[in-house]
Amino acid sequence: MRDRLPRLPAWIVRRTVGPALADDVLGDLEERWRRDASRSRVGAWMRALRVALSVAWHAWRDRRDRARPRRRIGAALILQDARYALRLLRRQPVTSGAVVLTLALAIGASTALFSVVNAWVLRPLPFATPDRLAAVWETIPSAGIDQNTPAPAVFHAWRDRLTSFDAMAALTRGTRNLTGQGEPARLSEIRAQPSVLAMLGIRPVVGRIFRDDEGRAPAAPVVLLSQACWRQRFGGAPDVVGRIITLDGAGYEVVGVLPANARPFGFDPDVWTPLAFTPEEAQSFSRYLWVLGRLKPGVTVETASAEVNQITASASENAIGARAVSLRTQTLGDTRADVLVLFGASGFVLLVACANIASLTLAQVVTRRRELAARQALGASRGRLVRQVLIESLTVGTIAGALGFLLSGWATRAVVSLAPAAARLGDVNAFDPRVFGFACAAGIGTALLFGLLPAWQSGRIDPAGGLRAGGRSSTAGRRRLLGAIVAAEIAMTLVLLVATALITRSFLRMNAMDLGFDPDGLVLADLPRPGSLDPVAFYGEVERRLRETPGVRGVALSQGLPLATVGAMGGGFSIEGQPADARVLAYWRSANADFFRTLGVTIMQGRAITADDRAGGSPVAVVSESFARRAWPDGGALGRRIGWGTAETPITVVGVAADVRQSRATEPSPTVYLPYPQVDGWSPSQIAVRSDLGTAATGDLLRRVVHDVDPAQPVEHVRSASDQLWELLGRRRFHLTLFGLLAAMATALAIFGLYALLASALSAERRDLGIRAALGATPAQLRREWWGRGLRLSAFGLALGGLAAWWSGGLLDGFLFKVEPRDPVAFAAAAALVLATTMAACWAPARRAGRADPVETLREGP
Amino acid sequence: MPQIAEFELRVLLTVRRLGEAAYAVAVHEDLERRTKRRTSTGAVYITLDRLERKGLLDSRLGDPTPERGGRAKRYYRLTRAGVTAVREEVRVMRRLWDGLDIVPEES
Repeated sequence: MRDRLPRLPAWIVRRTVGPALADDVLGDLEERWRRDASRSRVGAWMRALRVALSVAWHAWRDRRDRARPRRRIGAALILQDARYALRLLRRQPVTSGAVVLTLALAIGASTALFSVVNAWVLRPLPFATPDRLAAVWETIPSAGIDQNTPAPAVFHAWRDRLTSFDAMAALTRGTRNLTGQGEPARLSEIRAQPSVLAMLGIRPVVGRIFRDDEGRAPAAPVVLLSQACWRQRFGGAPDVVGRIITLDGAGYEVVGVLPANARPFGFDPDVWTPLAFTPEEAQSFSRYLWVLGRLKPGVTVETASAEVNQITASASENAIGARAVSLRTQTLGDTRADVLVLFGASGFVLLVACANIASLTLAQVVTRRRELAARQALGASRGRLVRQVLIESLTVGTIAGALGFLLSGWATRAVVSLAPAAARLGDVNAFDPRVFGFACAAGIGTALLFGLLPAWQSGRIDPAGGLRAGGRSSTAGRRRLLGAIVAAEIAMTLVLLVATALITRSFLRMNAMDLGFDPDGLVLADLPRPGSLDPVAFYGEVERRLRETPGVRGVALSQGLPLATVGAMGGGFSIEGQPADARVLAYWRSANADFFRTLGVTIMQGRAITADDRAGGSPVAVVSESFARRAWPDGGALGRRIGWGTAETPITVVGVAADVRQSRATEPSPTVYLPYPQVDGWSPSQIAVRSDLGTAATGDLLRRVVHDVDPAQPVEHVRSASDQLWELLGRRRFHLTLFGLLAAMATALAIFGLYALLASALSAERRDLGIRAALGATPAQLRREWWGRGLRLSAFGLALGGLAAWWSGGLLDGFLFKVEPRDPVAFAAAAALVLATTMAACWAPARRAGRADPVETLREGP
Repeated sequence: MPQIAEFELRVLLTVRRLGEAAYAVAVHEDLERRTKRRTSTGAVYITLDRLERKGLLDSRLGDPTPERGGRAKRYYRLTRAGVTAVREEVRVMRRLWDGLDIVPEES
């Protein structure tokens, strides 16, 4: 009779619990067995088995719970990993510092550009119902003009007949002389119909806006101040409402102050006065209005545009069209494309930075093999390792993101100061919450981007392979991956460099454009219409005094000098002997006798305007080459006659002048020059002085002379022509500077990336090199091989980048000037630069490879 | 201080109650009787072992007997840490029960 415990339950217990516990259990089981077996063997056996199984089951559960620690609260674990990550970073301060810094710079750049995009492109206009507001323009398709200010007659016709808008109002810009408040000052002005303010939903800071009746002729003598003007000139005094100020010699009552965001069309005037049309003015064809319309709900801007074009074209026999454009597009203009493309470019830099860090981290995974393998052996699961490496990346990403956000504050200000559109579009808040969100997202996103791959790789470390020193686990595969990453970096860098090269060429081309006049030594200034004196007398006197001053070589007067953005007026000129509808649309400028000589405009045929072309004399004009070509394609402009607008007597052409550009970027337009004494109602308001005295001295001289002749006449905006040209290139310079900076960052990162890759490959393959050197490879051979490696990678990157740049050429359209997006010179220059930097990166590693010492390596042992 | 699970608390209380005679089978029987619930034997063994590992229980071996095939019986008792743990757990329970209307009457 068996009086010992049956074997099966005993075996189960012994197999599933430790020896001490097994003894306890078996002891109890045996005790029980001896008692039960005398009564019922089967029952006793069953009972013993049941207990054994129960013990085995619970033991298994217990063991499982011990092996997988209960999930502590996620945060505690993550913090532990983060602290470990920080310790790791501190252990290698130089590398970690470099990594964090490069990422922070890249994040800073893209965050800065994002804040600009956020402020200018994403944010809606600060007006009521901004999406329903549109600007309406006249167009002259034959002359390529798509933004012409309409005349009151056209405006009123639109208002009566258009059905797409539920409100339409007009405004115009001007200037006013403010006197009686210290120095006479020239203020910029908007004259607007009262409904403009209502349409825009602008609420006054102080006082009120215009009433509707103040916009009925005759316009009430009331004025609204801008907030800036109120603060600057009136000290922000709250009692300014009700005060009478003197504008152009007449008294205007201040009725309110407008807030800073009251900027229709991007204008930022000092004062607003009401615009009113007398019945005659309402029928005038003088083109000077800026028209705002509010679309009816549900009507699209395209529909409105088509409607207004159809009405205008049919009324003018298709000579003139019209279009409507949303106010947002109007205000943003080119800037939208500009900042978006630049933002995209900064994204490239970010990607290059990520690629750099990814390759560095990947390389580190290999060197940390042992550590990771040991941790795995001690019980860390694969998931835990992956999570830990990921958290290391996230720690770097978070620090870099925070640093980048701080840097972006400064960078944003720099970008805005360079952007010429900033004056129009307003301030950018670098610390907007959306911007902060972007910086966070960038930090985390880039961390994931460069951290996922190494993290995944670290989960695949084989513990056995890792602990054995020198174990090679898929090194070849890893090397290829790293190589691919660096090649991608080089490709992206090439794209940025090609863009920069193209923009540089554009800039140089534009700078070299012939203006048609000589800007050197030319000083320009604005003289608004004189208040008290007769214009001819006033200007004649000013001119005389200036010319008598030694050093002054010439004085030009016009109401629209080249390089002035406003002033040249457009009009249609009828040609004698040609049908009335074959009018030539051209700009016209009033000019004094010295105009052409002073500006350096060549007279190709005939003569310039002279002092004999006086008021009351026979009307004469000098036309530009392009006008002559358009009007008389077969030649013979001299002596012909043209008619203009309301002038009754035809004008005789006495000279043909070379074409003049308004700025380097614009094509010359046909122009007609009229002696200013013969032009009714338009006196010169701009003066150009050519002198040897230098800009400052000339400016002072000008101010003194004008003051002597008429003390109430302000002289504004004194600048040298060269400076103004430089300013006009502002947009181009903006592109060039930013693209250049971004390309430089990417290039630096790419060089560093390539160098680091080669250097780490070098140390990983030191043994191989030593062995090869021992087997007879010469230093030159080894060097060549390493050069080859680097250049091959570079070539691959160049090919990839070249394709990408080719394919994406169209994106740069608005940025280029007379340069094709696929310009071979630019491509070649960029490729050459990449090649040169590649060689710089390869130089040191190749040299080190050549110096591989077989003795050293063999001494290290297997 | 390690956290005690509910079952572990019951085992600890039973060990305390049994005093000198707290060995696995006795704990199991007493627990079943008092809780009026079927309790798994294996759970008791493993829990006692785990509590000892956690430092809440101490154990000593009695004399080996032939009925046990020459094996000794293991007796458990609460350590100081075990006593503190139980007291804390009860305190927490009391705080949770405080003022509630569902506390059952003593039966």
